[in-house]
Amino acid sequence: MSTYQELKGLKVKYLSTDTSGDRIKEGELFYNSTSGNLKTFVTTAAWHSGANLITARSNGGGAGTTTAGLNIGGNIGPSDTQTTLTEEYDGVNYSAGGTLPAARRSMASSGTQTAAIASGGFGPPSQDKAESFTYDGSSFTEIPSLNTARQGLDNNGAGTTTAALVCGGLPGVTATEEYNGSSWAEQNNLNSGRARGCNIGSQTAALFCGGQEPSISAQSEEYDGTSWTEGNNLNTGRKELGGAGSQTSATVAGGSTGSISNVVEQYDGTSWTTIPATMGTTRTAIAPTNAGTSSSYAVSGGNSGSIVGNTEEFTVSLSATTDAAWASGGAMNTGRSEGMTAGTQTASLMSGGIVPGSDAMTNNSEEYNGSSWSEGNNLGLYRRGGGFGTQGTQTAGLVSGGNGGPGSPAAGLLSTAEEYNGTSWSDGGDMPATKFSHGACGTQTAGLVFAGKTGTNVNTDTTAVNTTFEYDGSSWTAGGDYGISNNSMAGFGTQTAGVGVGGNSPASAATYEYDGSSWTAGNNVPSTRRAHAAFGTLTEGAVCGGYNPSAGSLTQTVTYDGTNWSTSANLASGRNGLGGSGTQAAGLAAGGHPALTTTEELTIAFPLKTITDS
Amino acid sequence: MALFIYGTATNTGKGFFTHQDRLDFSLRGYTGHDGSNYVDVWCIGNNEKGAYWLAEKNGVEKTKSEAQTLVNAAVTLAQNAWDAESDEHKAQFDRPPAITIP
Repeated sequence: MSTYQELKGLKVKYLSTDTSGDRIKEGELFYNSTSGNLKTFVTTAAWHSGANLITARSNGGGAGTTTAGLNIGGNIGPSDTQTTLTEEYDGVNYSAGGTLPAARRSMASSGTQTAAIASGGFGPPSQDKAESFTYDGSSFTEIPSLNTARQGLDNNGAGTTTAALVCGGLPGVTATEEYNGSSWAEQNNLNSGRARGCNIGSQTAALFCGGQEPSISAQSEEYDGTSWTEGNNLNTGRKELGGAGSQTSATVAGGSTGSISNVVEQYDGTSWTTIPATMGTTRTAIAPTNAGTSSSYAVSGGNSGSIVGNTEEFTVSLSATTDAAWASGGAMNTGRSEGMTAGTQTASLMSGGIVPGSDAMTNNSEEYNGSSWSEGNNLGLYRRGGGFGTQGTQTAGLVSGGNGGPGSPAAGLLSTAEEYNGTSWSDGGDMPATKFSHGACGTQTAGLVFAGKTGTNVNTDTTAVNTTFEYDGSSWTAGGDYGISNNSMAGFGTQTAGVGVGGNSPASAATYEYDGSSWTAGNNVPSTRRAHAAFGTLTEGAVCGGYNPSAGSLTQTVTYDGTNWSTSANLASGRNGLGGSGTQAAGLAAGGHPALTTTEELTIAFPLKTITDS
Repeated sequence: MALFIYGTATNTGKGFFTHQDRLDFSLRGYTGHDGSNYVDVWCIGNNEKGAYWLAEKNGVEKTKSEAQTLVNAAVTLAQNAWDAESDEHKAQFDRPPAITIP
C-alpha cells in the first residue's frame, strides 16, 4: 500500500508568520504565505570574544568550562619564561587563582575549575617534568609523579582528578598513563607518538588528535580505556590546538599548521568536518576549557605571532549569538535607576526610582510604546527598589514595597503595593512585612516577590531575608523560602514558574527556580551580578547589565533556557540599576545609574534561511 | 590598523544605533564630560560601516587619549559626588570605579 508520503510527498506547514518559541525545530520546513518564502531554521556556530587574561601567556594548561574555566601556568615571554600563575574565568572576568608550586608550561591538564589536574610539562631548569598537581579551586597539591617525565604535553590531558589520562609528549613519546586518584599506571601506547596534540573526553573514551611527531600530524586516535585505535585524520594537520567535547562529539580550534591557524573542525565519532566558524584570532599554544562540550567551550591565551591574552568563546545554538543585537530606543523623560518595570518591549511601564540629588527618589511613571516614552500618572508614594524584575503589564502593572514614602528623600521601607491600570495607580494589598531591593516577577493578579531586605529604616535598620510572598490581586500570602537571604537579585517568569538570579550581599551568581511552592537551585549565571534587569519566562529568560565587583557596570546579556545560561549580545553601554521588560526575543533595558535616560531594545532573531530555486 | 574609532555623538534615542549597526560593527558607549556638559563617548569598530555611522550621526572624531580624558572627567565628577555623600549612602553604593576604554 502506498503511503501518503509516496503519493503526496512530505507535508510542509503553510503559515502566515514564521514559527516561534517552542515550535522552532531545526531543519523543519514551512511556507510563509506572507513573504512567499519556503523557510527553515538552521543551527549556527560562532565564536565571540571573552575577557582578557590578567597576564597574557601561551602554552598554559586549560581546564573547566566557559563559565568556570582555568588557565594554568604557561609561557609569559619574552623568551620562554615559565610562570606559576593560574587564572580563573567566570565567563566575564579573570581572577587570580592559586599558584603552581613550580613554574611550568606545556602541562597536560584537565578537570574542572575546582577539581583540576596538571601533569608533566616543561620548567626551569630547562628539563622535562614528571611532577603532577591537583587544584581544588584555591590551591595546588602535589600528587604522585608521572612514570615518564615529558614535555610537549600541551592539551595532551583528559579526564578528571580521579580518572585522568595523559599520552604522548616530546620527542615522539608513545607512552600512555592513567591516574586513579592515587597513582599513575602505564597503559598501552599510542600508535603514533605525538606531542602537543589535543586530548578530549574521558579516561575510558578519549580522542587524541593532531600534534607533532616531530612533523606536524593530522592523525586522530580513539582510546577505549585499554588501547588506542586509529580514526580518520583531521582535515588540517596541526599542533598546539585546543578542543573540548567527547569521543563522539568534539570541536577543535586553532594551532599551528606550520603557520598559525584559526581553523575549526568538528568530529562526530567517525569523521572530521571543517566548519565555517573560525576563531577571530589566529593562534597556537592555546588553553581550552576542556571540560566544556563540543558546542560550548572557550580558549584563552596562546601565540598569535606574539603572546596574547584574549579569550574566545564558542557557542552552537539555534539562537545564533551573531543574530542578537541591542539597538537604541527612545529616551525616558526622567532619567532614573532602581525603578520598577512592567510590560513588553513595545508596551512598557517604568515607575519610581532614584533621580539626581542626594538619595532623591521619584514617584514619576512613564509608558513606552516602542518608540517614545510618555508621562503616566504618578505613583502614590515616592519609591525605589520595589521589586527588581518585570511585574505585570503596561495596563496591569504592580509595584511592591521598596524604599520610599510620601516625599523624597525617604528612609522608610514599605510593605505597601500599588497597581496600575494603564491610567492611574491605586493601592494594592499590603505585604506581610516590609521588603526592599527584592526580586519580583509574575502579574498583577499572580505576583511573586522574594528575598531582599526588611526593616524600618534603609540607613539604620535592614536585615536580609529569604521570605517569599505571593499576590492574588488583593492579598499576599507567604510562599516557600528563597534559596538565600540576599538582596538586589532580579526575577523573571511567573508565580508558578519563576526565576531569581544574582544578588549583592553576598555577591552572588546563584539561580533559583520557583514552582509555586518551593525554590530549587539552578545553574549559576556567568559571574556574580547585582542591580541587573531580568525579563522573559523560565524557559526563555534573559538577564542584562548589572554590577560586578570586579568588572563594574556590565554590558553582558545572558539568556536562560530553563537549565543553562548562554551569553548573548552585549548592551552598547554598561549599566546597573537598570529596568527591564519584555521577552527574551524582544527585550527592553531602560535607565540605570546615574539616572540614565537612555534605553536599548534587544532583538534575538532566530536564524531563518530562505530557500531559493536559483 | 587601530581596532577602534573614537568619537562623541549625542544619543538621540530611537534609531541612533540600530540592530543592523550592532551587527555591522562593534559599538560601546561611555558617559564623558567636556568641562561644561556631559557627552556621549563612543568606541566604534574600525571598519567602513563604523566610520560612516559616526559621520552620519554628526559625530566628532577623537583620539583614544581625548576620549579617555572625557570619560575620566565624568568618572571624577561621579567619584566627587560619591565622596560628598553620607556614610549611609556610601554603605549602600560602591564608589564609581575608574573606566579604561578599549
